[in-house]
Amino acid sequence: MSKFNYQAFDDFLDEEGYLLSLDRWDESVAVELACRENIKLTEAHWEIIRLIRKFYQRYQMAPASRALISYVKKELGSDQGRSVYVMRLFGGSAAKTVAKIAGLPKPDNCI
Amino acid sequence: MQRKSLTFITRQAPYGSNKAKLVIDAALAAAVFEQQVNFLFMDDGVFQLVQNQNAESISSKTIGRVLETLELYGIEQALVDSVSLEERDLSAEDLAIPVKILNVEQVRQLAARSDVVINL
Amino acid sequence: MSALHTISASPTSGLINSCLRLVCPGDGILFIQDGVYHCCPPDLLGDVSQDNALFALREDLLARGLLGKISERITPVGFGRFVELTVDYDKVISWS
Repeated sequence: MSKFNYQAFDDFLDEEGYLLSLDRWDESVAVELACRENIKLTEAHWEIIRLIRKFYQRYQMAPASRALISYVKKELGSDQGRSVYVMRLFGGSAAKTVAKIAGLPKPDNCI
Repeated sequence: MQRKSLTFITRQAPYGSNKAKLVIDAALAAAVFEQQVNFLFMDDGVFQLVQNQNAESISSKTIGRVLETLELYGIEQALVDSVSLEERDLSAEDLAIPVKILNVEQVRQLAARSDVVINL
Repeated sequence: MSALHTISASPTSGLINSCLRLVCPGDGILFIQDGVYHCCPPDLLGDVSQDNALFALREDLLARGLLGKISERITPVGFGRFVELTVDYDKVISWS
């Protein structure tokens, strides 16, 4: 079930494809946003998506790559807490892509 | 890129202006670029560290939440000027995040050996 | 490493006290904008060591009618010298 009429989906995104309003997000929205990034979400993806949303709730900001990796390491351990693991799931600009799929604003200071 | 040592001195109380947030954002940006970053609370900046803040009541982000991210950005240790704490009758137990308290001489040395000092 | 400290608010700000906690021997202090009110009596600079050179921006002194009233320790400088000072010292620490 989705709140969205997909033709109007773009109206809910900013010009870079980030969700304009956090509370418009649900899992079906994430699937659609991921699809636009050519990513098919698996449980490994969801784990990171849930984590970045938790980060946002706690710290009230979207993390840049360095902080995202530190946080994954802290919460899930050092197997997943490596940039190569997260980049394999979400590509080279992983922090931006995860934030986008998770319905968060674009992280500041992302290089 | 040459690695420089940067010291950010945050000297403003958290919500009266956006300066406290600006210093944090600048420090996080420097950390993302893998610079050696020191973060020092001085003067009214130590008010950012007071426990039990909740800025939702004034529609702001609680500064302590943002300060907690310093560590995740590799800024291992937040530093505090002891004189500023004493002037405001604050002590380490009153603070929301773990910090290292520097005496006057340590503060002076920190500024002296830094390549760049950003002070707001 | 030496530093040039610039102070840009009036004595009421208390900036000079914070600044002096960081000042090392050989550092310079330059007063600009409302900071130039530090330069005239009552003497607010008694705590500053003789090791530290003191400057004030001439244009800001002129604007505020202070040029003839400043302490002898202070060297008035123009914008050109201001720029040179920022290069002469290893870094600038601004107090505002």
